[in-house]
Formats: sequence, C-alpha cells, structure tokens
Amino acid sequence: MNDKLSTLAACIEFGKINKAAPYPPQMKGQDGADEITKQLLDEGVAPGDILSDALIKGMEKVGEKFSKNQIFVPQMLMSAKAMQFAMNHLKPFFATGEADRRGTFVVGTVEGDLHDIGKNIVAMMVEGNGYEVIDLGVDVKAEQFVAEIEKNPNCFIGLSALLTTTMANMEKIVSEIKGKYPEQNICIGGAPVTQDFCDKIGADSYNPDPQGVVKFLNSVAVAS
Amino acid sequence: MSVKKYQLTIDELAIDRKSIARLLGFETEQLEQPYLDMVEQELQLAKSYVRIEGGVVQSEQKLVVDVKQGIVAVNGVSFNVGRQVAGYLKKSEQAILFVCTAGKDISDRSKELMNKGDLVEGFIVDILGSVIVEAGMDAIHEQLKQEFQTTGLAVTNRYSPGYCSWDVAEQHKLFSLMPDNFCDITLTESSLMEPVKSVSGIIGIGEHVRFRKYACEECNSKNCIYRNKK
Repeated sequence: MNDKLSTLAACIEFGKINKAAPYPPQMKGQDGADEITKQLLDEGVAPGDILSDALIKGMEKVGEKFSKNQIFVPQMLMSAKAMQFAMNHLKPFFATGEADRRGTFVVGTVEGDLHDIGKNIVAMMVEGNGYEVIDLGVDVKAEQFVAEIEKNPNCFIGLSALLTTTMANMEKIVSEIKGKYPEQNICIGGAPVTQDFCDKIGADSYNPDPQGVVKFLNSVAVAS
Repeated sequence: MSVKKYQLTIDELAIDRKSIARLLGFETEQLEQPYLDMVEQELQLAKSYVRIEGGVVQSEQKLVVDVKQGIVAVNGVSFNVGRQVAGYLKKSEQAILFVCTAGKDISDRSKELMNKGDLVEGFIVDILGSVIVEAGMDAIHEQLKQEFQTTGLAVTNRYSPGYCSWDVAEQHKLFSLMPDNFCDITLTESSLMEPVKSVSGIIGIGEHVRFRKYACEECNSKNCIYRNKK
C-alpha cells in the first residue's frame, strides 16, 4: 500500500489534523490529515481509495481502541476532526460520483429532548467510517424522519434520547416509521436506553457506544 | 414557604479537575495534554460569561415520608421518589426544594464550537457546564448546611428527579412548589430544564438526618452520569 495512505491512516488514528497542530506530540511538525489527503489527490490516488484504504482504516482503529477503553471521547473527537479536514478535500468527489459512501445515516435527538452531545459523537464516528450523515438536530419529530426517508429511500435511521420521558417519544417515532416503512433499519441509543427497550419498541439495534452503531450499519449496508 | 436566591461566580466555586477528567472519559481522572490546556482555557473564558444562579424554597409543613411506599409529601404534594430516596429522607422534618443553573450561554458556547468544527473544545465546554452547575449547587448546599447547623439541624444529600429511581416526570410537581420561572429556569413538557445546564431536587432537614458521603456507592443505577464518582 502507498506509504502516504498508511501515514494518513495514522494521522486519523492519532488525531493529527494538520502540520500546524501540535498534537499528538510524536507527530509534531509533520504533515497532517489535511496536507496528506491533498497530496494523495494531487498524485492521482483515487478518492475512493483514500477513503477506504486510509480514512476508514484509521477510524476503525479509533473505534476499536475506544471500545477497549484505550482512548476516550476527547481523543476520538480529535480523530474525528482530523477526519473532517481530510473529508473536506474528498467532498467534491462524492458530489460528482467519483467516490462512493457506504450509505446515508439520518440521525436526530427525539422530540422533546434537547441533548445533542452523544448524538453528535455518534454522527462524527459514523461519518468518519464512510457514511453520509444527515443530522436533523434535536427535538426531531417522527414526520421529519419520515420526510428524510422519502428523500433517501436507502438510508439508515439513528434515534437518540437522554431522558426517560423522551424514551416514550422514541417508541412513538419507531412505531410511526415502521408503520410506513416496515423494513426501515432503525438504531437507537442514549443513556437510559437498553436492549430490552429496543426489543420492546421494535427498533433494529441498540448500541451503548458509537463503534456499535458503525458495526451495525456496516452489517446492514453490506446486506442491502 | 420561605424563598432564598443565590448568585455565584466561577471564582467562588471549587471546580474539581478530577470530575472534569472523569466526565470527559479519562478513567485515570487525570487530564492529559492538550486537553488540560483546552479545559483551563475554556474555564478561564467561562469566567467572563457564566453567572451561576440558584434558589431554594423551604417547606412550611412537616415532610411526610412513607418509606414502604417510596413516597414523600411536601406541603401536600406527593412525590413517588422510590424506597431508596424515601429511606434517605425518612428522618427529615422539613424539605428544601432547590434549583441551580449555569445559564444558557455555556450551552450556546458549546454548540458554537461544535458547529465550527472544534469538536473537542465543544465537548469540553459541555462537560464544564455540568461540572460548574454541580459545583454551584455544592456551594449552596454547603451554605445551607452551615446555616442549619447553627440551629442544631443537619441536612441530607440532595436528590433529583431522574436519579435513584425517581421518575424525571415528577419535575413538574417539584416546579409547582417553586415560584414561576424560578432563577429563569423553565421546564419543557418532557421535564427537561432550560437552560439545560441546570439541576433541581430536594434536600431533607432535621435533627437526626445525616449526609451520606458514599451515597453513589449504595446506588444500583446503571445509567447515571455520576455513577463512577469516587
């Protein structure tokens, strides 16, 4: 594999954003995700290869390390930021169809709930793993999710809730979506959410961490 | 009911760096670089825009506690707090209802940072909001402890809807016992406080109550954000 692709994967894994970024100390003064992505494109490396052979590989390592408690949320966010700098160079190619994403993930915090940090972290990890993310924000009603499904028929849905009171709205949203689109994949998460609750309301996947969401999406994206 | 309000600045509070580190996810409770610098920088900035406001309402009537049913009644309003909290409040003679907020600006700052792609800083500011409002309420709690001590009374820990099996939906009943828009905090239909970085709850007062230093260790909640507090 191109050495630069490996270096770019390492930039994502360790959160090296650009040359000016002093973090991580062992990569100080070196080019970061920003510069290396541009160099790879200038050298003619296909945008899809940069995504799959460097960026996603780096983010997969981040997810694995997070699952094993080897890194924590701030380090994961630093990687997500490095990923964003790299993705800024790739976005024009997604628009022209020269590079493909794995799928589209529509995410939102359910009606009545205004908490967004957990949802944002999941959105960043999912985007970093090669998906287009449509973030509907907070206090999102069932009809807003339904409207997005109509616009993006093959999308995956993610619902977040932090309050026990808004878990009831999560149930309502799942029911309304499944009523219209029984095959629609919906994953749910948030501090009070459990696997039992997921089973009870008929959602397809509950995950306590962002990496679980990515694994679920990868499994259904391959199947679909 | 007697009402008292408090205004505090961050400089008056003991901001525990270990709590920040823990809530950021660092199991060692030690902040590493560059996160330590980011925390200190945002904390310094927060001093210029965060004003902490708190308020307490002391009940007139004797607190009625039914441990078996897990119910406490404050001025005739009944709360289903669960057996655990009812047990902790059982020797209380009166109740203090409280709110405290770090205000809206800190959440706005977090969102602003997130929106411009400063993800780590945005997350740090969100955690700072949680730590600041708890530290503000710690300071008010301590003041109450000292005030009641002079009259021979002690105070319990503070208990909040949404924690220790107390349904968050009972926020509405709790707020019904406090002045409207107390400390500019409002409640959504789903019982969420706005500003989001706010706390509310109940404290027991009595001659024979005690403050439990290790209350969290006795709790079996699986989803409380303070669960790992040491």
